[in-house]
Amino acid sequence: MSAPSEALVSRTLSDRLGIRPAIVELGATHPAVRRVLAGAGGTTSFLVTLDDDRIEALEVEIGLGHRGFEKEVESRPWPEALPYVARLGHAGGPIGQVAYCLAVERLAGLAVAERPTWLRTLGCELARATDHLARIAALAAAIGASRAERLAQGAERVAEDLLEATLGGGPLEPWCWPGGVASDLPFGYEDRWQAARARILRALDGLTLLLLEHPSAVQRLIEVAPLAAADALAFAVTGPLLRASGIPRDLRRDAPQLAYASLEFDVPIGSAGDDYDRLAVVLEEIRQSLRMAEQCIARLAVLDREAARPPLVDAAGASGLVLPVGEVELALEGSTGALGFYLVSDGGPTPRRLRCRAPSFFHAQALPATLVGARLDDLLPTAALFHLVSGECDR
Amino acid sequence: MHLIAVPAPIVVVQRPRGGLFAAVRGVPVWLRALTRGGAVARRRLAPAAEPPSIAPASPNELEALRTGLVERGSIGRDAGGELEAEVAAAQSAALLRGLRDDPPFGFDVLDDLTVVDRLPAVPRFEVVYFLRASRSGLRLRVRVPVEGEPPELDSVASIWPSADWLEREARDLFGLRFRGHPGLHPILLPPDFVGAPLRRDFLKAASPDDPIEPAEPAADAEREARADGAPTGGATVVDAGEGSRS
Repeated sequence: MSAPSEALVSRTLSDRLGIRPAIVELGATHPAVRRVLAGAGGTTSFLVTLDDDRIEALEVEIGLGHRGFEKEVESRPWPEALPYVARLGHAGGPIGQVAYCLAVERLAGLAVAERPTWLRTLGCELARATDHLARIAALAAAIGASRAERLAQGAERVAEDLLEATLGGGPLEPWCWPGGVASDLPFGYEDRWQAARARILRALDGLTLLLLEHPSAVQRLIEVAPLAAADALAFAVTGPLLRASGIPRDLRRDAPQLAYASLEFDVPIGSAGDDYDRLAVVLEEIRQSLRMAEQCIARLAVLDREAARPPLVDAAGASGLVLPVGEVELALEGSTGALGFYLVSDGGPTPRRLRCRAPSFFHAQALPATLVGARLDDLLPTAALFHLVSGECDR
Repeated sequence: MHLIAVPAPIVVVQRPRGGLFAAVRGVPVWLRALTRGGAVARRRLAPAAEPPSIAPASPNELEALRTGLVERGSIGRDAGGELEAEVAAAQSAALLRGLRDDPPFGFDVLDDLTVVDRLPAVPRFEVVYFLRASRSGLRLRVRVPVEGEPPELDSVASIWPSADWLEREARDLFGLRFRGHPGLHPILLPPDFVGAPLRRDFLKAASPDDPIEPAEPAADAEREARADGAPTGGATVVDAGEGSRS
């Protein structure tokens, strides 16, 4: 943020020249918006009131990707919500699948064996790493760091291939199932993992150099769009965004599900809550995700495959899954934030209500508070780092 | 159920260090290069100075919370391990404000707000607030039954800023009116959409001369059920007809 005197000079000049604030719409089909946000899964419109190049007011419009997910699943049996849930995120969809299955299992009182739990944890962490890399590529595109963008995209492709090997299919395909997972790791997975991990770590070193240390990139990120901790809590912001503002809340640490209680990992937080901290937190989280994935794979190597084969529920069994009357709420640490599900069952085969608490929804609401007074070119980098994913935000 | 803290260390990401103008915005690169900090220091992780700010709630705090809720005339009980309370609509605004402001509550975060349509039960709608105390991590779910047509409730946007968009979404999808809300504009649905699609009896896109009627198994829903081979739980097929029922 510039010193007050500079803004005063700018205002006086605008008044003298008769320049009035302009309202500019950066819609979802705007080339710059599309280039930056589409890769990370966002369709968001911005209505910006500009004074010279300063943002006076910002209105964020969501809802372009609204598909009526919560209504659709009310007419389907419980497990058939999984393809819809898988499409809530870009690569973070697997985490949604796991969260939904955990909620269904809690309501139904289903127990999950150890191997599927570790497989789920592994899938979640690799999905998180993939999603974060897509976000970094979007940020690099927004600030014009084309070399960093290519590096991040290459790393994201490597992570996507690894994720596909882990899930036994693309991230949008149903992989998690109430009671277990649908597929195990392929043979020869350890070699693929080692190669991918080495490539991603090398890319992370390069990205750190290009985005966190290079002066021209740092200049675009430092002290840009700070989000105060109090504002973050007021808008119910969660995930890496909240941690960048200095609040050490991570559901993997504070309310551990799956195998997180047995994993060793660090929780990176920022101090100033600006774009630089958000990027640094995301980069470090990728490293932590790979660290957790390594522990999961080491554990899976000693767990017996055949004896712990995840139960496959056939179509007839799935349609007949009837949950008792009651409600359950459960949240997992998704790649964007705390992804929660609130299920209301009235004893029938279909849900009474399925509520998805989407972290991006709250981030989009908090975005204008950080950008008032910032430059127009800070809008897209901040939007990229705010983890706006329309699949979950618009539902 | 209070939180279990896993001993995962908190680390603070380092800010760039360097010379006088290393990372100050607006200073040209050549000037920064002149000073000693032309190259910023390599990023390192530092252990956090203070212990993490989230401490699990003590049993005394939980008991005080439960007693306090019962004293205010609402029911505090567990459902699957989560704290849940039910509040009458007339007192909901005052009680929710107290839940944020009064000790021992301190629920300063509204994590979520949603509506459940209990048709054919009366009262029909239930507004559910998901509260969280950021200091202790304690979570509480508050249900407020709402009746009337259109169903109305006091807005909590002045208590928790996150409720602004959440109440807009509730109005879009369920048709609830929130009194005192700064601006209940459409958020997820197009501005010209008529009807509340997440209501249980919403079957088709409604129009002013075609009122919404209660659900009944329609003929096309049966055909679809036979084609799918899967049981359908009632006629909840959404079909955007051109204003007339086919």
